[in-house]
Amino acid sequence: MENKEKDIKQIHNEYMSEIIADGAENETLRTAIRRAREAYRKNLKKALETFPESVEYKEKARKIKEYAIDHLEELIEKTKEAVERNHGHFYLAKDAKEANEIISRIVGKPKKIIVKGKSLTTEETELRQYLQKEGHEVWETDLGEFLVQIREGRPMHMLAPSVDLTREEAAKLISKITGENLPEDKIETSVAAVRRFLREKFTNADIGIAGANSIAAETGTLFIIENEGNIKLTASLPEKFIALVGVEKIVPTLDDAFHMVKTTWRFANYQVPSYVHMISGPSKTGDIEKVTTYGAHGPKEFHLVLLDNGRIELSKNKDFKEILYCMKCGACMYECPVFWVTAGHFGKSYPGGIGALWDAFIAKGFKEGAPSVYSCAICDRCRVRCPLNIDTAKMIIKLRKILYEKGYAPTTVKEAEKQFFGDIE
Amino acid sequence: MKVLLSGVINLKHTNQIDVLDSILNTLKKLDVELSFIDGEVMCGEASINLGISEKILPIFKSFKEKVEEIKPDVIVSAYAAGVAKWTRDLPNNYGLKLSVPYIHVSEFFAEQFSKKKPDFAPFPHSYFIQHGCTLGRKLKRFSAIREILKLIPELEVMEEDYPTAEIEGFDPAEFNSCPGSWLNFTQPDLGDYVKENYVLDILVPRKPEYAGSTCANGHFGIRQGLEIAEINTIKPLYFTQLLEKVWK
Repeated sequence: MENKEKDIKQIHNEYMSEIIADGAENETLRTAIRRAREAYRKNLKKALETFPESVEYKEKARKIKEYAIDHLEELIEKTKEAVERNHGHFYLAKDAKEANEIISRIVGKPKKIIVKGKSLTTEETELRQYLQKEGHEVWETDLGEFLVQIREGRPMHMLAPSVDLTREEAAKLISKITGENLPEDKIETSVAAVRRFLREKFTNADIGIAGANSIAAETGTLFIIENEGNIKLTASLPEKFIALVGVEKIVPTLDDAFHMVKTTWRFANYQVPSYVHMISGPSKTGDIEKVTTYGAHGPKEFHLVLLDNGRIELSKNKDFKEILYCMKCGACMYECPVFWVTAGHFGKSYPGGIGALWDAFIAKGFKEGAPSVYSCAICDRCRVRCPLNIDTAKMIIKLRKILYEKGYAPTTVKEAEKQFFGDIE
Repeated sequence: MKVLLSGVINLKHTNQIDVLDSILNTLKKLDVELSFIDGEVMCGEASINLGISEKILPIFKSFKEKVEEIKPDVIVSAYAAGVAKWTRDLPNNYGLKLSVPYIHVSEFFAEQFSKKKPDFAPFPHSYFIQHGCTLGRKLKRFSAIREILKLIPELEVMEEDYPTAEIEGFDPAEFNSCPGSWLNFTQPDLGDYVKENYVLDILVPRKPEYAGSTCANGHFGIRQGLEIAEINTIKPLYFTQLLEKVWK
């Protein structure tokens, strides 16, 4: 995924233009993030007061991830065996291109209606855009992601993709697509309008696609957290359900997987989410003569596409494997001073400081990912907020050394070097 | 006692001469023998933070040699970066160790004041203190500045709170917001917005009369932020400047 065409100066300049013009200079974005941050803190306090034992989840979650990442290839194999045992279809895609091609083959021809749940992994592979280019009608069904789709943007937060939008802006955008004149001060009317609009898409959809928060290798079970109910419909109504999930989401057991999702939702500021789905295979019934028949009320086909895209190699890198511990709860972003003024413009496929590392090692490569690595204020507050205590600042600093040696540092670093150390050559 | 003041060049680079003067004046009040390293260059965390660490290892070695020549009893700096570098990074990663302690200037004052309590005049004003990200969050050294500020009669000390700190067993200062000073060296244009936002989001709602950071780098960010946000109601004040005001 290295960008061969643009030189590093151009990449830095383009990134800086975007992060300043679309991010830092956008006062509305700052207001939206401020509101979201205050709501996050208030909700987290309430969640931790109600369930104080959650504080102890963190250490166990960290241990589960440490083990899982150290045994990743073994767990992938176990997951494959379990999924196939459950009459599901298993695929391991080596990169984004292969993942999209596999999914395209599963989707088939001619034009299909596809409903999709929010998933950072599908953002990484740009799956929606890929399937749209193939002529399919694809709808993001998470409200925040739906707003991203209709404004042709990209997610501005790991869990809350439209965190940068105010209620007023959201109402305007939704009005455009539904043809209504929605009141700008009432969030509930905007939500209801999207519900009406997408209902028909759900009922007519041929394919449902989503990600997952965790996978239990022993049973091949996907755990998916959601609040809106869109995943419930996406994973139930269409004939085929496809999950695209990064391999780092695999943990050994059902208990481990549940512990990971429990930790994710709690530190994503929920007392309890409205839904947590456990999906282990296609819909089936044995109600007639105890003969197992697939495709009862839910999907007849279940496909799990695991994405490597550099993760397996990263799991063996002792300096950076901690990147893969990230559960994508998004808590760190609410405490990031740079995110406060830029939202997801700090990053590319993955936002924020940890996102800069994901972009560099997984989604974009060192060259294209370099600018966001230098946007980190290395203040280390994300580590304190992270339930897994991921030391993002430490890894950013280590990565900067590599980027400097490759010639990917911005010119300002060279200037600072001269200012502080003179001509040390 | 022979005290080597490190980081002078950085205060000059960032045009914080007033802060430098206040450090010198207050150290002199303790009747210590002050020394400096001629031609000292930046020897803090910047090199590591910017990704250029190994290239400048000779500079650190030269610093160590000069320290051995000067033979101070202690090295003090207003920058947390130097403290982190010489207590953590250089010994752990490069085997470079100093024969004398390298501490933050607030820790030096707190230690001296614990031996002999100074006579401070009342200062009936509010003062917001930001615990520098490196000194506070990374090194968990919060107590010295708190002990110092406690000694000033009638001073209202303000710190940033965090709603879940107690439940989670953190010192609230571990969640201190960052004024984004390190961005000066990587993406300064972006840094200006971060500094401005720090002032507007963190300082302005709390309405302190004065504000400062333990770390001179963080303090620089706060100063710049106040300027960019055009806030005149809050004055930047490094803690040694505050000491100058109250020390009888």
